[in-house]
Amino acid sequence: MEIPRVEILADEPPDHVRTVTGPIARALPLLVGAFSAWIAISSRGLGIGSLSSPGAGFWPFYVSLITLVICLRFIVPGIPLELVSRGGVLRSVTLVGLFLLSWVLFEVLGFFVAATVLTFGMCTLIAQMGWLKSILTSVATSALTYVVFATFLGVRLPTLTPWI
Amino acid sequence: MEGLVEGFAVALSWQNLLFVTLGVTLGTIVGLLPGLGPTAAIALLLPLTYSLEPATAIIFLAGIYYGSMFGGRIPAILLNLPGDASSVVTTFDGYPLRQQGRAGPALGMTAIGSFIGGTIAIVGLTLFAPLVARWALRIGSPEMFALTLLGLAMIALLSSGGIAKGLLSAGIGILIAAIGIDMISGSYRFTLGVPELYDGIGIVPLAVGMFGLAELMLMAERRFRHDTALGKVGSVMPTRADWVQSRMAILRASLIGFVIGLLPGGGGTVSSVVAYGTEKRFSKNPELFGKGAMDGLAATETADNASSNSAFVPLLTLGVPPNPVLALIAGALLLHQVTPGPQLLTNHPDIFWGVIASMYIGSILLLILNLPMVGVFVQVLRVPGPILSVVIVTIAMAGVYSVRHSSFDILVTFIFAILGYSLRKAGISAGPLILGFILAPIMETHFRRSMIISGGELSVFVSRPISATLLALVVLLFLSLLWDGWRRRRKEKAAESVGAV
Repeated sequence: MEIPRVEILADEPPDHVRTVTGPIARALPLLVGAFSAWIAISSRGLGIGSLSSPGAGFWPFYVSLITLVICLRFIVPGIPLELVSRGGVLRSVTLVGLFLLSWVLFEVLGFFVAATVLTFGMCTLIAQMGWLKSILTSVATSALTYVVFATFLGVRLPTLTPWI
Repeated sequence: MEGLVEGFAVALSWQNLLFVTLGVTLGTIVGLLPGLGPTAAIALLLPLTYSLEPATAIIFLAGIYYGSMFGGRIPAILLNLPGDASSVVTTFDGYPLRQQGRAGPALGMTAIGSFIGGTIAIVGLTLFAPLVARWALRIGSPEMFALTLLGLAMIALLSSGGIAKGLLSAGIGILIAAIGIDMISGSYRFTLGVPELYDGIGIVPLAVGMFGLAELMLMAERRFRHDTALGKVGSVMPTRADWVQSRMAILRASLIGFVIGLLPGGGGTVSSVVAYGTEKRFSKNPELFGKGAMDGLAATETADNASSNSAFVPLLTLGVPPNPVLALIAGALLLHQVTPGPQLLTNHPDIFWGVIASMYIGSILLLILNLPMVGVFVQVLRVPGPILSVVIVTIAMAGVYSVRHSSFDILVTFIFAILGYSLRKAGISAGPLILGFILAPIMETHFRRSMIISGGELSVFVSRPISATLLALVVLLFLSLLWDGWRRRRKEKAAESVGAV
């Protein structure tokens, strides 16, 4: 009997999508394999115990071994990656950079500044909106979010000063 | 029956009526916000109940609970952003339906399915609560382990990309869930000495990162311009064909959700997953699942709401909260000097029956409130993509922070966004990962308990009929897929050799 596969979160790829293989295709299984290996080694330090008295490391140890075996299946051939366009990847990487910058700013300067910088960067660098429209959008969105959370949900988001 | 009449007398007092309406409304609005789900909604609004009477406080919190469960569906369908763990399964077919321009009927079917499932569950709760509670006591750790394994296996083995990728995704989720404190021994695991990891990785930063911000990273490739070829959204009412396709799914899912909701740990996620997998087997069009199957969506929503209501049975009759959200409600009861459990019905019948009666009222309110208002939410699709994206990211950032007031969670969110993006590029579904993450603590706890109780005998899982049956289903599913894959490869080879000739 045919068992149809469930397409979960799988958008139809546009026509210009191509598949990337080679060393970069091994990055993900290597990283996951390294993570699994680390879990397995650390689990032994926690104590695996026995079947009648499983220790804290019992469950993660055996799950990490299974995951490592599955990773080995992918490490040599790699997992082909879907590439839309070089520009598209660069925009995604830019967004990652903005995420990390906003986290640092959140720690130091609070929510409003962090959110404004993040959204301004998204509007200008990625969406290519005009400067004025980007400033207005980022400031308004950050301010409105702050007010909604503070007023209606009672969540005090960290701020640099009482006013910003 | 007398108890229920007394319950309605309590629930229909002007004060309790006001608070159940307020709870449902607030719950829907808060549940709608990405990053905030029922747990955050209840935690944030819990202080408001301190000054209320116990019955009113619990009725208010119950309204927030099922209001926020429904509210989480709306961003899951419209934006592919699950508001909480149990709405992850909603995205499987809800978002594809939205992409096909059928967001309105999808939301309508969600409301109707939730109402029917919830109502059936409440009737079942009313009639069978004492009987069901006695039966639920027979479910032990081996059965719970087998049930959670079946739920995870159904998603992992049937996911896109193949068995290996599905299992890899689930394995990653299970390992991530191991970070933090071990609930049985109390020792810290894989925290690298980072205090923020002592409590483990939160579900909110993981889900928001993997689904919400990862989606933003994909949208960034296209400069956040979202698909405008949606066609007319039209009416929110499902068509007659949708109803014919979904009616048996709703009925089956109601029963599945009701039963699973009774079980410890068997909350919205497990019931949605099992109902989804079950409906896929019964459906006349299983190939549409994951691509916009209305019966698939109806099954998940119905089961989820049915289990949300029946989950009150173990709390009210056994004193055992089956999920973190109801644990907060149990805490609220204790704050008001009310101890949930077998004595609740005899010592505080007004609270017991008042909560049940308020569920009937809340269920009707959800339908009255959400069906007419759904069209307002659909207008979100008209907002330009870049504007929507910046709104999503700021609300997500604030929402993630609001759960534990930790900026570390924001960093975790961003890290999982990168992971979610990478998995999408590799054609690996994130569904098994997040479900593995959610189910792993339950699986591990029940596995270890089973081993301790049985003295290390693995045969405990096959010597008990319910767990044996569930494990047999897992094995059967795995073997079926292997057989199917082998036959497909044989056909492909045969076709290639014919082509070569």
